[in-house]
Amino acid sequence: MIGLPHLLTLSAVLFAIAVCGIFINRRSVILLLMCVELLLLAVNFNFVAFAWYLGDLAGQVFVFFILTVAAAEAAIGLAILVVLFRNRISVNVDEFRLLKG
Amino acid sequence: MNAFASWAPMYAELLLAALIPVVLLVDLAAGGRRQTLTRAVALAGLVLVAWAGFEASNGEMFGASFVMDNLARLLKLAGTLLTGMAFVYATRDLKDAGALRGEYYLLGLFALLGVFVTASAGSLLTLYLGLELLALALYTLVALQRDSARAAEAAMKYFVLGAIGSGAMLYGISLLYGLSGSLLLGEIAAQGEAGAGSYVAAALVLAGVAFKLGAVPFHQWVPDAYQGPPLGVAVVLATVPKLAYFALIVRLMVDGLPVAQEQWNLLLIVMAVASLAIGTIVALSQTQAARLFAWAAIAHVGFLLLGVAAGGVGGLSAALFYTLVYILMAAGAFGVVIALERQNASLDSLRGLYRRHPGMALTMLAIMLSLIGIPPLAGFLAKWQILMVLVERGMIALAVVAVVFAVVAAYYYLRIIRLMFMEAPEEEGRVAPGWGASLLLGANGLALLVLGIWPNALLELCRAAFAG
Repeated sequence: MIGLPHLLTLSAVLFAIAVCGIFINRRSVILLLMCVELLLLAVNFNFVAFAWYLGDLAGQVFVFFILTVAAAEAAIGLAILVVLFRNRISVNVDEFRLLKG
Repeated sequence: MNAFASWAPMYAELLLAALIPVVLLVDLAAGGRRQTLTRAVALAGLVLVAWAGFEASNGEMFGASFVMDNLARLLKLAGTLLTGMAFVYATRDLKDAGALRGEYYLLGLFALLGVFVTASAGSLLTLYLGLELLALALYTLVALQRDSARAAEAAMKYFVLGAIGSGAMLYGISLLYGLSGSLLLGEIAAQGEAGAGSYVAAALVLAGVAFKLGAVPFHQWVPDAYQGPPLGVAVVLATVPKLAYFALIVRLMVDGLPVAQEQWNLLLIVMAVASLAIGTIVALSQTQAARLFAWAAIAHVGFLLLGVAAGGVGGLSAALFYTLVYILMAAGAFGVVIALERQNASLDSLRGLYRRHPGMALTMLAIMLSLIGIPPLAGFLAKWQILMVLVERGMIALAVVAVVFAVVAAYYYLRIIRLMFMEAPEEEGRVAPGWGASLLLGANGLALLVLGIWPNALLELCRAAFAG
């Protein structure tokens, strides 16, 4: 029988993968954006698990809001990426060196 | 009229939400040529929003998801004022940078709406939506100068780190929901026992808060986000959002998580001291105005977190007073640097300002002395309040640390004063800010003096915000 602890563990693992992905990844900004999405999905998983466990719908409603905000966030992230690429012809994380001091 | 009466707590939000499409349409109708028209409409709208903020009655809506109280009212009025000031200061700089478009005012207003919603949040959902509305508007603002690689890079860094911060906080929020079974902050606060779960939730939420505020060790985005975009964007970034983040700390940590207060208070104190130390020390070696203000901002955040850590009505009202005075000073400092008509202004462009424009140099003098904390300016009183509360609570070591770093910080503010008054200007010719910016800068400097001499009205408001 799958219980709440299993679900929470899975979501914690997803969260950890996302955070590791962000900090280890040194290649592409696109991967960073994917990790950010995974981060939010881990949170969604948590909310759904709790909502199911508590028998409370509020958690599932929250998930819809997170999904909507995540879509807006991805749109803005990709827009910034396009601006960046147009100015730099590169989306390599290591080349972010203009701002230092 | 009766149909509207039940919406009374939301007047300010409703009016602001109605203002945004109006500004959009005006900008569209003006064809993007007459930015002064867009700005005039936005500023007139902000005056109306401020009036609505006064008129809105205290109360709850949507099953306590939305709360209007004294704290929310004060933060909203301050946010409206600061947004208006930023709009006036920023115009010239954005025009020079070729980034003055109607979107600037639109995104500024969206950010303000985010501040309003966060300030009035009564549940985790409203809190999250307000913060994201604010954050998405700010990411876009930073990327406003489309042809600048520096602005794009700053926006990307800010976006990625901001998204991680939001994600961490959201994970903590989901744990809070699971532990208490409710999204309402009032019911979350009522949960009895503190366990491992609430400690983890508190730590994650605190990490998210620190990301947003730019407290050490989550401060890396601050200098880049201030330096990359035009200064007209940085002036918004440095002032208005701080109000929302203050509301976030109070609503989520102080009101929502009293069970784990001892634990997160300890983390808060560590972050505050680290912010003070690193912000102050790194700021010593900065040569670029925006970057200097960014590192100084990190140190100031440390100071205000000390007030929050002291806690109680005294500590929180002192921290609120500090926040309000600080953003007033930051807006003025950016206003002066913008008036120098320099993109990416280095501190050298302040050289000999007294000979080029005595009035502006005196205004900057007042702002710098206030940032150092010299009486009788408001900055002194703001620091004094927090130090007094710390001493009252027996946290004398923290008070001593705060004073030491305040003294060290005096070095880089005094360096700016020396540059302005004792050195020869790099270039001749008077600085000519527009009359609007000149008047506002003068008023800004004067306000710091007036608030320093007659602080009681604002102090009372700050106290009333927490006295219930």
